[in-house]
Amino acid sequence: MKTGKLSLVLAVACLVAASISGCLRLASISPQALFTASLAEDVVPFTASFDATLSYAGEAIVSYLWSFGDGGADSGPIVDHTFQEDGVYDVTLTVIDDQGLSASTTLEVHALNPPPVAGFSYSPQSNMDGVTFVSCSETITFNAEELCSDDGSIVSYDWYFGYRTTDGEPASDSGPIVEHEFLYAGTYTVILTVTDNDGGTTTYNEQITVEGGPPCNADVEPGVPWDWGTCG
Amino acid sequence: MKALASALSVVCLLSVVCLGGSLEMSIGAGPSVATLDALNDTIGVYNQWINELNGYFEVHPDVTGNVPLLEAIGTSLSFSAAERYRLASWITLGATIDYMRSASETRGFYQGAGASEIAVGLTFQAIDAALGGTLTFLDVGLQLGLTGGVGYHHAIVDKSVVFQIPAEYPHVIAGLPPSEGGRYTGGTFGFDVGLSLVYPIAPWFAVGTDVVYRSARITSLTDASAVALDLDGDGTAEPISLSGLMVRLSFTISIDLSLDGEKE
Repeated sequence: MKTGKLSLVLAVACLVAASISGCLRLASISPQALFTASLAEDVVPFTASFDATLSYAGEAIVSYLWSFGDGGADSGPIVDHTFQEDGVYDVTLTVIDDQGLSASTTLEVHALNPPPVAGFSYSPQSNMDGVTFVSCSETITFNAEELCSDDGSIVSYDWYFGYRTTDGEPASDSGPIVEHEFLYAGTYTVILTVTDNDGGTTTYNEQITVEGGPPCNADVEPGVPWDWGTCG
Repeated sequence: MKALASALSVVCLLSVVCLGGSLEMSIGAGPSVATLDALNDTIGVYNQWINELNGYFEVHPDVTGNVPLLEAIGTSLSFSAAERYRLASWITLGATIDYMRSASETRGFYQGAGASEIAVGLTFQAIDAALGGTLTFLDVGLQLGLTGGVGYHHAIVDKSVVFQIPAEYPHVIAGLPPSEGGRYTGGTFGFDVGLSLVYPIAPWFAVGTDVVYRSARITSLTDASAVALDLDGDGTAEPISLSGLMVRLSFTISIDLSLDGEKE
């Protein structure tokens, strides 16, 4: 009799233990919004694909709702979206199962400002034996207006003419069209930096050959060898 | 916790002095299931991404490797110790402490142009201290009773996550829980109810089985810096449900505390 009761106690323990071992499986699975993106950063305009087929739920997912952060929205497990304007956008996926349970996930997409296009022309130029150069002490006009462009507007043109003046300051200027005189012969790297209204910058440089000697009233530095050249 | 332990001690000592009935001390063990919903949701997400990566790199010519999936967490053996006072033949009051530990981990590499490691470890521990009792409503040699109690549930979650996506995977992943590690703790009050079946083998010894449903939900667990456990990385702490079932197979020793040496 005692053995029977003891067996009953143990049997109940084993039976209940075995039956609850599957309890976790019975617990409802919350929906999970998971997705991949073909791109999370690019220069606008660009199109990115979003795939939410990895999302899951205990029940069937009935809605895939997308918000792209730029005012755009879409639905469906796989969607494409084109970002036209630069900025940082939160792309949010919300999945809803047929029990009405929902889950959301957000991915930050960086739509980058396209940098401005930079370039310049200069005149007058001389050409001898296929070599282009400018002359000492000649006023050269640098024009960036025609060769620079941007999707917005260019707010600054900064020039550096490739040398420092006798007081140690960089020879520089600003503006879409500037004039400059090189006093000494040599090869100078002229650097133009343009900045657009979104803060994007582009730098363009070009080497310019200057031929001839300095003007007779040039402020020649002591100790610097002087080639008389054609001055005079 | 200290306050609760002190309270339990005081209750036990006072019971001895005031009641002088029989003192019953039990130890037991048995399977226990805690829902741990947020932890298991996170494991599900990890497994979904591991599946995706395993599937993608299975056919990728330049990458080798496969990462095992994580097991669900929350089912394990729990241990209990109880001390109760038999006020009458049909009622006992006392305190119970339960301990449960459950863990899940995985580790693997994908080897492409570089090595990418995935190593996830989650360990859950719970210590429950409850005050309660048992009402015996059927005694036919086997004693069938209703048990219940209220108490404090303290949980510890140890988390260690490294989840490196190989550069050869061409997509950007959204919804991947963050790679981080730490120990998070928290607690809450809850209650438990259940049925007990006891077979007294001798006046001083009994074997029994409890089937108990525990209800408790911790709003958030925090680390030593008071940073909340954010499993999915969405910036908000997830509540963790400790609710679940426990089965205890217990062994009880009775000590007669009455002055005349007789059991009630």
